[in-house]
Amino acid sequence: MSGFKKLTNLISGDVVVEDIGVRLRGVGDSCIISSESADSSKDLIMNSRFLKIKNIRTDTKISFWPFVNDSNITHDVVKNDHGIITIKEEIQKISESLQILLERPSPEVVVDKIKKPISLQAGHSSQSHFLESIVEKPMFIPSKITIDEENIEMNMKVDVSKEVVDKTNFEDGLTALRNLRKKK
Amino acid sequence: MPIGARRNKPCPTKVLFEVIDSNAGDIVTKEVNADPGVGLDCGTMNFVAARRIGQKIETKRVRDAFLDLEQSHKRMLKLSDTSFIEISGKLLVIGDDALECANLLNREARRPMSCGILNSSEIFAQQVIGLMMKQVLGSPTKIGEKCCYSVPSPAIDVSFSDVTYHRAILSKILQELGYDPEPANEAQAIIFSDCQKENFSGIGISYGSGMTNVCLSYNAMSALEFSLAKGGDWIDTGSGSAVNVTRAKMCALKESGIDISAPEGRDQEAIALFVESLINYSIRGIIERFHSVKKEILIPKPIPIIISGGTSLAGGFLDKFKERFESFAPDFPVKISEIRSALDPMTAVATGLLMLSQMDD
Repeated sequence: MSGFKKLTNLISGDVVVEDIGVRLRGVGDSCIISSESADSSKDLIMNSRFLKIKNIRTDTKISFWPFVNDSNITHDVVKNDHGIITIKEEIQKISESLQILLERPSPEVVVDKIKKPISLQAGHSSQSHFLESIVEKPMFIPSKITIDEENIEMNMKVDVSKEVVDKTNFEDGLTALRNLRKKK
Repeated sequence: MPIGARRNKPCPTKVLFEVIDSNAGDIVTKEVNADPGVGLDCGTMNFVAARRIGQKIETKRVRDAFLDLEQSHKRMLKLSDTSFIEISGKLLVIGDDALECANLLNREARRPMSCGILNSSEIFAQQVIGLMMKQVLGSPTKIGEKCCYSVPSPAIDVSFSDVTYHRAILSKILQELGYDPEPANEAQAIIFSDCQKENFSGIGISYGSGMTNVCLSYNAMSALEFSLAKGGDWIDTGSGSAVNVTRAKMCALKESGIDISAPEGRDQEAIALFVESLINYSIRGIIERFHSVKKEILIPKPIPIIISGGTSLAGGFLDKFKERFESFAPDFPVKISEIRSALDPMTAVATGLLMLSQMDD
C-alpha cells in the first residue's frame, strides 16, 4: 500500500505550492501527491489554510502528481519573470557602483566660494572682474579627481582632431578687446 | 629631455609644448613658440581646446563619450588599437571610438556630461572628463598657465538648473592638471571670436549638444545671458524615438552631412523636423526671456546674430534659422543687422576663450 494525500483548493484564486511544483486553479481543483512529497514541503504548510488535505490510502497503482520519481531538486522550480531578473541586475550594478565610490578618496575640499565667470562689465577695472561668488551652501569636492595614469592600464590613442587655422586677425581682435577694456 | 622636465609635468624653467607619443610610451618634447593661455570649450559632445602658436590657432577636439565593455573585450581592444582605460575593474572605451563601438553593438554611448553640465548619474564622469581634458590641453606651457573654460548659463526652461557644482569640478580638474582656471560664458566667447568688426556687439547663440546658450553683448559687455535646455541631443533622442532608431545612430546620420532643407528618407525627415522645432523653440525662448527681464534693452545700433555650435553645422541650418526668424521678427526686441554663422562653429567658443585667456598678457 502507498500513502498519498489529496490537496483540494478552497479559495477562488490559484494556490501554488512552489517546492513541489503544484498549482491548483480555483475552488475545487485538486491533485494527489505522495505522502513523502507532502511531508517534505514547507510551502504546503504555509498554504495549508487555503487547502483541504486528505489522506488517501490505496492498494492500486495510480498516477499522482508530480508523475515522476522523486527528484533531488534543490533550486527554485518557479522561474523568475523578466521583471525580477531586471531588478536583480540593477541591484548588482548599484552594488558595484557603490563599491567603486567607497574605494575613492574621501572628499576633503569644502568649497564655499568660487570665482564668478569672467564677464566684462562697464566700470570694472582689469582686476575687479575676478569676483568671488559665495555659494549658498558648502559643496564637497573630491580631493582627487584626475587618474594617476601610472596605476592603471590604458591605451589612450584618443582621436584628437587637430586643426591649425591661420588667424592673422586674432591679434587685431585681441588688441581691440584690450583697448575696449582700458576705456571702461 | 631637458633637465627638470618630467613626464606630464611642465618644465619650470623653459616654455615647452610637450607632445606625448603614446604608442611608443616615450615623451617627445619640442620647443615651439606657444603663447601662454589656452581656451577650453567643455561641451556635451566635444571638448575643444584652442592654443595660439605664433600667427596660427591650433585647436584640438575629442569626443565627449565613453562606453563600458566586459573584461573579455580587452584583447579585441588591444588588437584593434582602440582607446580604452581599465579603471575599477571596468573597461572604458573613450572618445570617437566609443560612438563607433556603440553603433556596432547597438548600444548608447555613455556621456560624462548631460544638458551642458556634469552628468551626476555617471559614476565615471569626472575621471573621464579629466582624461579628455588632458588629451586636448596637453601639459601647461608654464606652471599655472591660464585656462579659460566655458560654462553655460543656468537654463531658464528647467527648474533647479544650477551650474555651480559643474563649474567647481571643472576648476578642480584643471588645477590638478597644472592650470589656473577661469570660467567664462560660452555664448559670449562667440562674440569675442566673431564680432570684432561690430566692436564685440551681437547676440551669440551656441547650439550645443546638451543645451543652447545665448548671450547679448554690447561693446564687449554682457547684457543678458541664459540657456535653453534643448540641443543636439534632444534632436537625436526625439527623432530616434520617432523612427525607432538609437540616438547614437541618429547622431551619426546627422553628422554625416544631411541637408535639412532637402531631407532624404524617413530618418532625415525626422531630423529636419526636430531641427526646425529647435530653431523655433530657441527664437521664442529668446523673445520671452528678453521680455521677462522687464528692462529696456536699448541698443543704439543694429547688431548681428551669430550662430555657432556643432548642431548648427547641419546643412541648411542657417537658411532655416533666417526663414523662421522672419516670422518672429516683429516681436524681436532688438534690431538685427544680419544673421550669420561663426567662421568656424566648432571652434568659435574655444577661440573666444583663448582671446580672453590672453587679455592680461
